[in-house]
Amino acid sequence: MLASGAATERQLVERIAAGDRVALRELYGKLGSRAMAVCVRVLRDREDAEDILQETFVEVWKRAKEFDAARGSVKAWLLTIARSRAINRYNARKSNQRAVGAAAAEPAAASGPTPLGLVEHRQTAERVQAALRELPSEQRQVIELAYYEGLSHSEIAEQTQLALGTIKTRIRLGMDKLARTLSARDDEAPTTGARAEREASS
Amino acid sequence: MTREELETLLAQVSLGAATPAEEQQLVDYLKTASAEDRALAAQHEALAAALATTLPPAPRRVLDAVERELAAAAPPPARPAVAWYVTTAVAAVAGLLLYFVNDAHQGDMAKVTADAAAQLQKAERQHQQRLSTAVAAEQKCAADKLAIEQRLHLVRDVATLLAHKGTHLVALAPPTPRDESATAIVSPDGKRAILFANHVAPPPGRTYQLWILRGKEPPIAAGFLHPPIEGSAYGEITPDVLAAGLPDAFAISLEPQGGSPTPTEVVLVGKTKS
Repeated sequence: MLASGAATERQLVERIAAGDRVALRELYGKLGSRAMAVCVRVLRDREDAEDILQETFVEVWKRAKEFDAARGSVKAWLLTIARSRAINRYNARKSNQRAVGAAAAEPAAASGPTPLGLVEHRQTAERVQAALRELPSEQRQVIELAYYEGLSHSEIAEQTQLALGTIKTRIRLGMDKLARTLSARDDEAPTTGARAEREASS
Repeated sequence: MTREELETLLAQVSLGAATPAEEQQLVDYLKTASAEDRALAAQHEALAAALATTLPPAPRRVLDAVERELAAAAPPPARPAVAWYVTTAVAAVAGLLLYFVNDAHQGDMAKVTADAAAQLQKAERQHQQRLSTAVAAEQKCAADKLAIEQRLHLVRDVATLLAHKGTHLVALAPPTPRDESATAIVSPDGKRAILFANHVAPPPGRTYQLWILRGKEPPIAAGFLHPPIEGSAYGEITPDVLAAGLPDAFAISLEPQGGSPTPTEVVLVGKTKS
């Protein structure tokens, strides 16, 4: 279920705080891609993004005992660590005038991918990316800031200089349109129709 | 909660932008929500899963590096415990030696020796049993390792193909209603194609044969699907038949073992160009 993920993530951090390496692996499986997305968005360099991802999870291991669920979700905590470290790296890199490489896409590396799974993953990703491109730019922008940069509503409002209510409305309308576009595409391509469901259950 | 409020909350949670309080609010609401609202939540859950496919992967090597870094900082592991039967055998020998050095028990030496020998034999038998189990486990591990290496090779192969921007996917569908489905991954130059099939289960004595179709030419045999594992199978189109470039269509048919010169029962077909 959508919201039960947060409770699981809290439990994982509690286990990590108790020294459970398996829990760290599980948390990496759950939030590694989100953190990687934030690092890639900030740094635009895959190698640097991987460095920061590594630093982020080492920091999560070391600071798990300090995590306070009353102050925010595990996801927000972890993405804040990732973003903050990525920004530091970006600034350091900028000051060194280093060349910035484009982030290259890499196929899914979730644990134990099957070849068929890779194919379906890519097909779904292509459909979602196409659907995102069809969104009005103001809706796509807020969805991307929330999902790929891990920003909260208030942070998006601050960054875009828009009212919080406007941000929420744009996200709702954007997600609604995204769902309808994907649903229409599923109807067009019956062989891929159950894919999102399968990925949801995997 | 109004429909609009629920949609706003679901959108926030799907994007991971909700606060813990908002997430809890949603959890509480869904406990007693109507079927319609729960269906809406399920729709957002599927949407969140679909969005997740667009995220860059978190590479396994990064996790390995994290674990190496943490292991380097951790205290050394405790020495492994000595197996109990080894301890027992050593204790038996030690006891025996004590009897030997004690003149008062010289008379019982034969019995003690026999007991100790029996204990040693028992320990030896148990050791042999464990050794056999370990050898069997090692053999199974070797077989598993080989299977995993083969799968890893295939996954890497497919991943490399998929990483090329020009690589495209061709969906194969059954001409008549059937369970089977398949997808072909075709390299940018059209000279390499790997097919993956789902829900495949050939009847005994039959196999899935691959074909390419070009214009009005007869179908060209192009290899076989490997034996399916849990309903999934893959096969690569024989590279030679793709030397002339991308065919018009791929097909899979059910044939007797060893294949046929022409397809007898086509189960899946997919055009390469729409």
